[in-house]
Amino acid sequence: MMTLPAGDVNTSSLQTNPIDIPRPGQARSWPVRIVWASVFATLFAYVLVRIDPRVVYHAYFVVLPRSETHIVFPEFFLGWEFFKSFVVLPGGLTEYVGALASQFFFYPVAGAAILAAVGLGAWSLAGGIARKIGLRHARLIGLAPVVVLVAMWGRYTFHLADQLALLGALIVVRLYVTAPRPAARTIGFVLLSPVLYVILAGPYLLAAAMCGLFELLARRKTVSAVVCVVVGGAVPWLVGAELLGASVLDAYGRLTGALAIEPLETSPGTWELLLAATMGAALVLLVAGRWAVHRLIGASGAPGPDRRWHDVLAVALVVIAVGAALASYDRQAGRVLRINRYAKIGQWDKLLLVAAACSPDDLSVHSCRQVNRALFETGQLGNRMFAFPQRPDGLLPDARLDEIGFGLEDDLLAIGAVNQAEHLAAEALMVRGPTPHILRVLATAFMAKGEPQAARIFLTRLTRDLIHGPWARQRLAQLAQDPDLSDDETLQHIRAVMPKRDIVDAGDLETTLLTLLAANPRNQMAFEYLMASYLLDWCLDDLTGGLETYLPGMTYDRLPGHYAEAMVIRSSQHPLPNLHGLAIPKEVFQRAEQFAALKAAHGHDAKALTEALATDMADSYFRYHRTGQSGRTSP
Amino acid sequence: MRRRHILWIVLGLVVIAALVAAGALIRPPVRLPEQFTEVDRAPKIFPDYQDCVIPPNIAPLNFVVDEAGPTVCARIYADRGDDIVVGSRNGKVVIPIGPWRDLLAANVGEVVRMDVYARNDTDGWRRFRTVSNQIANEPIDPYVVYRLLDGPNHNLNPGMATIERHLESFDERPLWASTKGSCANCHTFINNDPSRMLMHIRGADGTAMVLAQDGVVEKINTRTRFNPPIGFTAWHPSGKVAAFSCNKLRLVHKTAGESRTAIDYISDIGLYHLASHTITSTRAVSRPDRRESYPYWSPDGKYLYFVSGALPWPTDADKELTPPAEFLEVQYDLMRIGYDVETGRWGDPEVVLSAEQFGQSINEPRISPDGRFLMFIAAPYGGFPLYLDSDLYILDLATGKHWPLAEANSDQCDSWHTWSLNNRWVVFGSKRRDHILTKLYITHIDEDGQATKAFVIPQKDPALYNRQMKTYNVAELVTGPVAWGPKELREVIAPTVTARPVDAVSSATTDWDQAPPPGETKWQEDSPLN
Repeated sequence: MMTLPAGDVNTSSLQTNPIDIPRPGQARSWPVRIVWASVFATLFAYVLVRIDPRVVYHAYFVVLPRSETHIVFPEFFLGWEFFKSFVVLPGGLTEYVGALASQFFFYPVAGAAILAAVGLGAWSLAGGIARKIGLRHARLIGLAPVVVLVAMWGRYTFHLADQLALLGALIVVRLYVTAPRPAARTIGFVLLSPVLYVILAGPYLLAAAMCGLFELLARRKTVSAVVCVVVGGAVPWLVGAELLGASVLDAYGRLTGALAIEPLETSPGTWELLLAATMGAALVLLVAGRWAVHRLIGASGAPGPDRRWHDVLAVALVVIAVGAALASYDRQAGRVLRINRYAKIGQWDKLLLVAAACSPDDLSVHSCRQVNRALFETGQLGNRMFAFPQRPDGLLPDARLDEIGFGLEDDLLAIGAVNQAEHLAAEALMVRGPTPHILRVLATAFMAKGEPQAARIFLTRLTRDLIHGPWARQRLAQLAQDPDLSDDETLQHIRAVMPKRDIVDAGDLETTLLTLLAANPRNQMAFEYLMASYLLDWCLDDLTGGLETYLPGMTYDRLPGHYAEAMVIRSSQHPLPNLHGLAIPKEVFQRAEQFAALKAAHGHDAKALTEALATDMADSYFRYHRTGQSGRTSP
Repeated sequence: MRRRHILWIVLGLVVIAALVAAGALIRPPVRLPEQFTEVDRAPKIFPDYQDCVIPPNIAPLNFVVDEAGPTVCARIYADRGDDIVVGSRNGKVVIPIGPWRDLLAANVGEVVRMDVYARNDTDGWRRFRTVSNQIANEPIDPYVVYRLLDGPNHNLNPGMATIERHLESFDERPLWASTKGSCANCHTFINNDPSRMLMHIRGADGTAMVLAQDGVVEKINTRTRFNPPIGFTAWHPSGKVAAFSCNKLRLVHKTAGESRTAIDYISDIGLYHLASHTITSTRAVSRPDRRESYPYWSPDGKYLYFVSGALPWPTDADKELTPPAEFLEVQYDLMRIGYDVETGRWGDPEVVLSAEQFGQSINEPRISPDGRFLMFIAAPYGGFPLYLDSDLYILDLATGKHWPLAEANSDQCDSWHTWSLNNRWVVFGSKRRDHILTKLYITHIDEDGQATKAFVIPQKDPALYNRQMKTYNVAELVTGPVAWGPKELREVIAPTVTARPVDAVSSATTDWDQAPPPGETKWQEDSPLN
């Protein structure tokens, strides 16, 4: 912590303000330490329990419901080449550090500690700046960026590098306001600006603006303020766009979070126009601010309204802000990301517990596929799939271009569609970059196909990943011993179910599943997904054909409930098919009677029937077949 | 006091930096071990630079020793000149370029040998059997221009660049790099001359042909009312005409084995006349019932060689989702047709080597500059061998005999070859290393058309190929640096630059009804490409 020059501290404010908290460097008493530790512990606990950094780590291009926002988690690889790729970018070093620190989100305690430390740092720096400017309740004001950070964490779309750059900007401002000589600090800022910009990128603009405001409002140095703002506006252009060759958008927007937004369709010159408008507005604000300071505060610096009201207002604002930040937590996103994480680590029961609380609006197509995979893995797909929200495209990723990068290639590998998994992962590699997930999928696909040379390419890259490196090194060692990896159960399973016939892949789900079943009629996952697709598409004749053909290869003690429901529905017009010794369970007939009774009770009132089915037969195929609805109904 | 502390810290850092720099510069010379165990086998090294024939002007063949123990050293020597001794603690043998050049220059036509030593804790130093490479008499063209892509190439590849590599050193220069979503296709030179180049750009930067010659770079829109933008291109030796094919290629995926294959749905051949900026064709090379592709001129300019395969599906087949099943059966013949560049008169097409007779599909014919050999790619089917188990073949144009380049081929895709101007070297792409990423290999072709073991183009860091996920393809050998740099090309390729239009048949649209030159026809209006 910086030591402030005595002349610059508003000591009267410190002494008389009961809410303000002294800095540790100023008074290293236990209460102060306890306050600091409490803030850290609160942030830590909030992140650990509420946010859960692990779900962010696994959020490889997950699409969040409603907003349709994609989460992009940064990859990080050890080595000079990866580092070099950052050096040439504005803010590259901060991005590199952010990417490195983000990897520790894999470990919940480390991830929570990192975010809590960022929050604590922002509080300390913002409070210090506010104090230096001479504002009362400096430490409460310092909570402002923390509130923003907490709100951002709760949306799950944040980038740690952006927040580190923000922290860096606050450090710059903190050092600036501490420097004693006006001319020296302005000249120093100007001289260091290119370096600061290269480190901070977009947030450098914030630092420049804050330094300008400090000069104007706290020190009343109009010339210095203008210099800060003008230099702040020019340096990204000169260094970012001209020297480093970044686009104008990149030069000003990098590490601000603005680039997470899809690029706007702009005509040439739009961004330059926006920049000019922003700079003009900043200058107008500076002049207006200067005038306002003179008019409202004046040279006397007379106190405003009653101080107690100030204190009450300040505390109320803090409470409201913190409350708003906590309330802004995106529960939907949290659920989707938890489902995603459980799918990635194969904790299927926990996944279904989270999914059970979701309404149809909560689940993206991505989550829906993960829920169905969990149902299959727990042996419930044929019995409980309609207890969860379903959609016709909610089974497997389609090998079309717009399905690239959703991280569900694991499902394709598990079902045996190895080439489709390879294709989607290879496309994702080009579009999204070499994320550990993609590298693992590609390595596994090629190991399963008996292509150890190709697998080594991806494993070698993966050895440089902090989290997956040990797995990759182990795989490489195993490949060196046994290129076929003949003892690996996962690979043996994939090899047993993958197609052997080299035909052109039409790409549609039904053909893919039939091809897999033709390759191995005992491919349980392909069978259940095929039946599920027929159920979802109301193709009961095809379902019947599938049961007749493939049931002998499956291992059922009793006919799965949804298949039985479908057979009962179809039996109104067709005889029951040969179910190879499996009978329709009694409870299915009872449900059919219940369904008939509800239909009779509600007559032609479709809405009432829909509501009744949602209440009494929410998880049945009778309901889906009639209404197209399943799972919990949206409130 | 505080300032003095800072001064000491700064001074200390400067001293440390100076010591590190001095340590790096004044390294003691590497000494060969005096005591070692002889190992009666060749060392495992990557890349595999053993028993190759190498150009006398090739860059140092740096390699990694893949033996237990990371401490290695090597003695590189020949009958004449000074020995080179290098070593490292990371398994890499990096040969200094100056002494290597001297050694090769002093031993042209002789053998260069390498004694490799490796040390580990249990066995101490071991020396392996000497590795030998033959230095050829003929140099290779000093530059190769190739396309560099990120990762295995499927449909999307945002990271793409056209690179010029100096083969006598490790210098590289990007001639063009993609912006988001743009793509550079085949670049073509006339008689290995780097001062005249054609290149095709597609995607975000627009679709156009870049023509660089006579000190001028132009962007040309080759789409006319009769043909889509042109693709595979070959300069006529006179430089007056470029033959091209228009192809509708699509990548499709398969259920087992190599996941990719490509279908050439429709293709025709035409000529681009540089002086008049016009496009012409003849029905003989743009038949509605055939797919003609990969044009290449004989060195005397009298014949246009190309490949031709049947078109067994409707011409709008590419609009369907599922590719026609017949594409796995169609094989391409090697054809040629006479052409007089002065009069514009076409001859009659003739089959040079039929696929039925040969047993495989023939692709990418390219003739040695002396006109003696035609090298082509043999693949099981189709007109795009990049994803197939394809091999290089040579056809002796004088005798009609053909044979595979057995020493140079691999069990993976070998394709897209380029001849050196002196007829003795071929650079081609091969997936032999890892089966999915193409790298560039060099092979020597002797006067009888026999190839030697191919070796991958050396890199300064010999471990580069181990760790990078890049595809190198579309190699073209040239005799000097390309006369244009990225700046000139970028300026011309920019989407804001309007491409010069070309005209079908005549140089003036108003002359459309004018009769075509003798021997030529209009680009047929019934062409499937229309």
